[in-house]
Amino acid sequence: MSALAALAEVAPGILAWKPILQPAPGVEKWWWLLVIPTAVGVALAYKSTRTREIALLPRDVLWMSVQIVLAMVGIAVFLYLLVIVLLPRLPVE
Amino acid sequence: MPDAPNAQPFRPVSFLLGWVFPGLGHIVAGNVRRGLYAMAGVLLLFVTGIAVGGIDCVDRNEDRLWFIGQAGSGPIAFAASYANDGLLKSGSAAPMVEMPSSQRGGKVTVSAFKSIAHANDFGTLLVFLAGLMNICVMLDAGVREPSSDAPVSGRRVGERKAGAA
Repeated sequence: MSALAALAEVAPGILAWKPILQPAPGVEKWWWLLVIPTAVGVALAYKSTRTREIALLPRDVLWMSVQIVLAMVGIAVFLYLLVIVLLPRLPVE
Repeated sequence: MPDAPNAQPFRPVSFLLGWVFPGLGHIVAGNVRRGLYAMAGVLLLFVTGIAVGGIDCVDRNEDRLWFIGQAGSGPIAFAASYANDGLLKSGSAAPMVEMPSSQRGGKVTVSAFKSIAHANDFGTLLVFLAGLMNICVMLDAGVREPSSDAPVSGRRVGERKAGAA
């Protein structure tokens, strides 16, 4: 039911959306998902210039994309621990 | 390493064709699959950026520094910027609305489709990344041996065979 409610909340924005002309609706809620197309796009363009055997390119792109996403998740976890957990525990003069 | 046995001369035509359209430099030189993959990567970034932020995230007048990088994508970036002028800034695609302006202390009139906040940030960044990655692809097209997608050759200047010391 909650998924349906969420879909119902977003649906009018999607139906009214004019792609290319208008920004995508609700980006502020799902912007973090953009790391996936960003990682795949960068990996695809980069590996197309670096891979020696073109037949191995899809495997290389997949592996580099996974590395980028994992690195970004790792940085996010580190910064969360630093800013939300560690820094508030420091003594205040 | 200009004296390396597999050194390739710089090919300005392939380099420039890579700017005309992403991957075209490789394709015309005979490296078709490599060019198609490069095209797919750059266009994925470009189209995702435009889809997220709209054409307002490519603006050669208001976001000039960003546009310098975005222009690496070639004429498609200029087309998006001109479309921004012709469709959004002219008010033909959406009504113009007043918006507070911190720089002028008053209000400015902008398109109702102007992208702001996360949409504009990520749209601008993705198109910028497309431009930077295409510059890498163009440079590779300029130094890569033509028709070199075959498994044995296909190496660029300085590359060695797999397993070579």
